[in-house]
Amino acid sequence: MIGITELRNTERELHAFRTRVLLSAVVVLVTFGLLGARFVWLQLVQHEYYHTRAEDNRIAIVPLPPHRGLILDRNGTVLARNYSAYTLEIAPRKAHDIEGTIKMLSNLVTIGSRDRSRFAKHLVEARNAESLPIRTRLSDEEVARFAVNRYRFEGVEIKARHFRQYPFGATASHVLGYIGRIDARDIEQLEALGVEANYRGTEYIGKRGVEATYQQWLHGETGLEQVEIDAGGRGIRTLSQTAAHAGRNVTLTLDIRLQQVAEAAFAGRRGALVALEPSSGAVLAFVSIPGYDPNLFVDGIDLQSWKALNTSADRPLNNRALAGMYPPGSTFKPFMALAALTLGQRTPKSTIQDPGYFILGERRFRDSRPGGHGTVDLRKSIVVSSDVYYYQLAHDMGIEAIAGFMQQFGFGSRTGIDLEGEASGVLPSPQWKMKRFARREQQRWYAGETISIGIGQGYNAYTPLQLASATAAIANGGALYRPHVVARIEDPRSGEREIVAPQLVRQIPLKPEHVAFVQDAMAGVNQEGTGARAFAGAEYTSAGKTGTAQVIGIKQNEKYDEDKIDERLRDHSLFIAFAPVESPRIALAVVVENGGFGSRAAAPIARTVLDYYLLGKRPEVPGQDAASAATERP
Amino acid sequence: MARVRTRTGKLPAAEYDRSLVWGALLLAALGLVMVYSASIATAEASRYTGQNAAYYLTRHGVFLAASLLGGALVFLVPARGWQKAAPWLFLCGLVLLALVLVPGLGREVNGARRWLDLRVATLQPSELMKLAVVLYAADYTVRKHAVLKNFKKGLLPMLAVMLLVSWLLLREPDFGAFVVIAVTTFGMLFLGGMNGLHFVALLAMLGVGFAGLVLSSPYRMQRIFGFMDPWADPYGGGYQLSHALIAFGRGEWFGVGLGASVEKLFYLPEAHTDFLLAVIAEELGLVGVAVVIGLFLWLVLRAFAIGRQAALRERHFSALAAQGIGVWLGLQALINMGVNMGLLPTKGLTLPLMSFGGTGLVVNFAALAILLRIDWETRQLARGKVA
Repeated sequence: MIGITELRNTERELHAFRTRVLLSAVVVLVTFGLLGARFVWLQLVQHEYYHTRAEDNRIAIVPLPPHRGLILDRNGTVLARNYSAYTLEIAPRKAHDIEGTIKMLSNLVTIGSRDRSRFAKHLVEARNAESLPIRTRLSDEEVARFAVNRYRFEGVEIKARHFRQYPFGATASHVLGYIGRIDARDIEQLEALGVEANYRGTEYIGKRGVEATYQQWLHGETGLEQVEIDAGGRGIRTLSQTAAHAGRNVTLTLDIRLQQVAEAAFAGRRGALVALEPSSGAVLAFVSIPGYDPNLFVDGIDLQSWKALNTSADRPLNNRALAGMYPPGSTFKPFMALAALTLGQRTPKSTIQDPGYFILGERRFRDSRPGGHGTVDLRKSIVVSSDVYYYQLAHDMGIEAIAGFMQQFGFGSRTGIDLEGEASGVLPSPQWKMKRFARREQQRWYAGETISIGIGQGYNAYTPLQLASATAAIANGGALYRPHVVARIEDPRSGEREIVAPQLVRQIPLKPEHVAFVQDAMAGVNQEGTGARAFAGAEYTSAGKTGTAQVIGIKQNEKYDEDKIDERLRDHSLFIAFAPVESPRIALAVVVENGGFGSRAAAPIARTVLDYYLLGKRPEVPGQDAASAATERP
Repeated sequence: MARVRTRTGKLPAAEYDRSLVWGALLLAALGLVMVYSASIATAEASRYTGQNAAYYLTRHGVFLAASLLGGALVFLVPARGWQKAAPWLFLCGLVLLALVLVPGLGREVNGARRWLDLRVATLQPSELMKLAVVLYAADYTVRKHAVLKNFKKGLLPMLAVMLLVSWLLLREPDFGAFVVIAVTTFGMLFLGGMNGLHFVALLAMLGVGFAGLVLSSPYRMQRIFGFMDPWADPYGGGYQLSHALIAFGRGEWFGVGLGASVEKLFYLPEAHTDFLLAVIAEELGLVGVAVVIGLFLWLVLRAFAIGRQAALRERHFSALAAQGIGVWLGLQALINMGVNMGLLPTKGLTLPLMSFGGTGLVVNFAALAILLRIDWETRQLARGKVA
């Protein structure tokens, strides 16, 4: 019995053993089979994919970003240049604990709160950037100190970088603009233009001003280097190289010394000035004040400065000359006079009686001079700036005729200057009103509205640039040129030059004798009229027109009392001028915000600028020292 | 042994398993060549090796010679001798594993304390332990044969011992050796006749434990499943694997040619040890790897066959030892290949018989020698001789 049980047991065990061995063998075969399948998949099916991966591994295409071109003024003075400096940069993707890293770094190199806030801003704006600077402009000692401790910092590197520098600081900042880090919007734009390949390795791009408009020339062409690299990404040898083509140097029509004189003449007041060469439209001075220091933007502006610039009541980031819209006030009168002559509404001889007011229906329009100017002819209307004359004239001409004539001078449309962000201004007309307003009763043009248009008030609103450009057209006998700030673009390598030719927008059909009459009347302004005090003793002939633009509406029968009004609500002071009268070399428009009467604030600034441009005479004001000191800087 | 021709003119059945010997030698030879190829650039560039391109080749050659000699010596020991020595060997292994953890004795490399410095060479006790465990498990199963199906008497003592071994291994840490030893032991118990229900329950418990461990911490989850998409972090955790995959992909049918691997040029760390297969794949292509897989498969199947022959002759210890060796070498090869191909998470396991590494090589060959001895003894029995 026992023997049989044992035998059966052994048999059963042997059977169980066999099944288990078989099971194990199946497991082995299946797993090896899986391995084989995976292997065929990797090696045959995905061969192409991994092969490419391997090549990517071994050869790196390293972009060689070009040097940015310089910006020079018309005399060759450098306004924007590059310098190289060491920066301490953190690669956000490689550094694990950014906060901790910065803390540790601050033991080695000074990292201020500005550096920190700037880095934080970069981190938000350029999330996927390769590396971001935490400190710029390291001293040699700091570089050495970090280099010794480098092994402790993963993802932190010292890099030699080129920085943009604007030696004149805030001077002409609204023309030069600035560069900043390429952000998502820039990338979109570059992609839309299809030039993103040329920006590999480039981190900065022009954001405003000439830096932005001439970006493609200033940038240059990115070179490429094929480098064989090892596993650590370090280059072993260069396989091939295409050198970068440096950006072109851009020479402006601007005279930086004239610009300095003009900016200093504002003596802390806000405003704008545009000076043009009438025969070409070249911009000689382009002031929007206050400006800002573009150097702040170069290594990325910190949050505090950015906030300060944005929230300042003076709005330093607004380009007043380009986008500020001001009612022209009485500076509109010479254009009205020219319209009257050209359209046959007035002759030089015809006169009116100016009792100090003009009545249309029930409404009384007051003259700026109580009691009026008595008998006024066309010349006198400009010289003494009679309002009643132009109330009457506007009423006689009608809004359609005024708008049709003024539009020829570029009022209400962009001049097409080579700076971005230009405002088109408002040339009021019934059509404009239809488009501007949605409600029916607002869309209607009232006859009373035409009256204030005549003296440059009402809906009238133009940029200082438009005003200067139109003034240049009067100086130029009706030839309107497109204003431009760039004179030529030069390739620093080949010396090839591209010169920006003056571009005639239109020759306004005017009779020479009519132009001469208005020019003469404007000369009268500076000799015997509202500009006489500012231009007393000038050693050249000049023509001008004062203007005062209301900031707030004044009720009928209420007197405007400067002392009672808040400084910011005071009238803007305007002045347009050109000189010399016989063969004008410069035409300009000045706006001094809340400066009061045009003769008081704006005209003296015009005088200073003309004195310097025509005679080389520097003004005897405290601003002079600062201006000359800045010129001597390299 | 003189060859005796039979009347029919055929050679008599061989006295040892020729195909196994040749297969193993082929793997070892290919390993030698590939270790040289994979290490040449690293060796030449490293100051540690004295800029000697043949540094790893020479060392591997010496180890191989020592392994062959050691194998020959092991072959002289009868299987019964191993059975008697098994508990003592196991105890020795435990002591060595403990010694590694003693500060000052164990040598630490890359955060793992796995080596004992013997001045002339370094010893990796976990490799020795693999063989010791196979022998011990075979002995244990035979000794406890009668009570093996009983949980308390049959399984629990082994579980306790394994827990101790696992603890020592995970302290180093050497997760790869732990997996190999654990799976081999339970594979042997399974083959040796442990209760099928116990086995299934054990498997289920392991599965649940593993899942719980992984799911309880996202970090661990990432660590373990990161291998599935190495490109998600190609410069960090996925670095090694992504380069191994590139090596495979470059190989195609016949490879880029011996010596022409790009990945071994500093891209792929540990090319001559853990990732040798990747270099083989890149240089020798599908054909090269197919040969390697085929040889390992053959080796495992031979070990099972040898075990079966021994079992038929009632030599239970020999049978289990042979199968245990087969499971061990096969499993280690499988895991290493799986890691190389991105099927398994990266664990420090070498390719048996091929990869660089002294202790591993010697122990692998000793195991093969035991396998051959078992086979030889079985064949002697078949011829009616008493071994």
